[in-house]
Amino acid sequence: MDDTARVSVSVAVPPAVAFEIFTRDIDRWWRRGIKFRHAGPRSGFIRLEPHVGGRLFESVDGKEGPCVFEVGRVRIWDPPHRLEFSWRNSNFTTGEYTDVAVRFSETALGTLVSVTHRGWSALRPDHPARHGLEGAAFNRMIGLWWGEQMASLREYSLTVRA
Amino acid sequence: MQRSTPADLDASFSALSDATRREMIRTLLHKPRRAGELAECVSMSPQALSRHLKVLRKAGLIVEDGVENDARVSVYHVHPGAFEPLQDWLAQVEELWRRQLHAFKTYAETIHRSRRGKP
Repeated sequence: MDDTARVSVSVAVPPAVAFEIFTRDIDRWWRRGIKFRHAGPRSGFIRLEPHVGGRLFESVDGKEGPCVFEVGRVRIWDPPHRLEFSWRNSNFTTGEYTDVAVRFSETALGTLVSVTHRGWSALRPDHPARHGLEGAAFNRMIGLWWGEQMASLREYSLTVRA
Repeated sequence: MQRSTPADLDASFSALSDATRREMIRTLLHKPRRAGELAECVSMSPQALSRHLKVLRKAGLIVEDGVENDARVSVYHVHPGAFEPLQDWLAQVEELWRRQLHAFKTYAETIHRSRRGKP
């Protein structure tokens, strides 16, 4: 185990279609609500610009017009096989980011879409922002710190079990 | 699995808020060590080290084991359950992506069927 979250799903469509829907139609399928979007109950949209350097961003309708939050930037644009982009949570400070990689593999039934989200250990646990952090944010920091230790930890837990 | 209580988490966070104690954990993750060895690894006097050991022990992050055939010497190692906060965090990230991918699957398959259904 390392600091990577891994999730995959089998979809009954060809890779090219899966890639196109994943990217171009992201606002159509990306879940709504406070857990998944900055907009929460407000209206807005999420968009992925289809090229390297393109933004993954959310536009949220506010009283004084739309407000844009950039989630990340496309790093690898390789349809219909691979897509990689950086990812920032709203409580990240400038320069802090994690990495999301999406792979589209052809299967007999269609496409296996695999997401890996890594880099949680890249943030410094002694970051100045850490002081005064409240529950969830502090929990995240500690999570990140443990992420650094996972390689050692894996060996360690094997030793303990042996 | 028994989940950490808020009090447990507070103790863990507080214990890990200190750079020396984080270094001690990092060292112990490589292998269990006696207090003397650990003091050398982190360049610290045994007295100062013992205060830190106490904090880590009370927070449940490390445990002390006696050595067979020598009751005078204790060995410290990291508590196997100490990394639950990270596992909890990754589990949350995975759960969010799982729900997103499920929504993606539902949408993609519906759209694809409707497109193919067209003459």
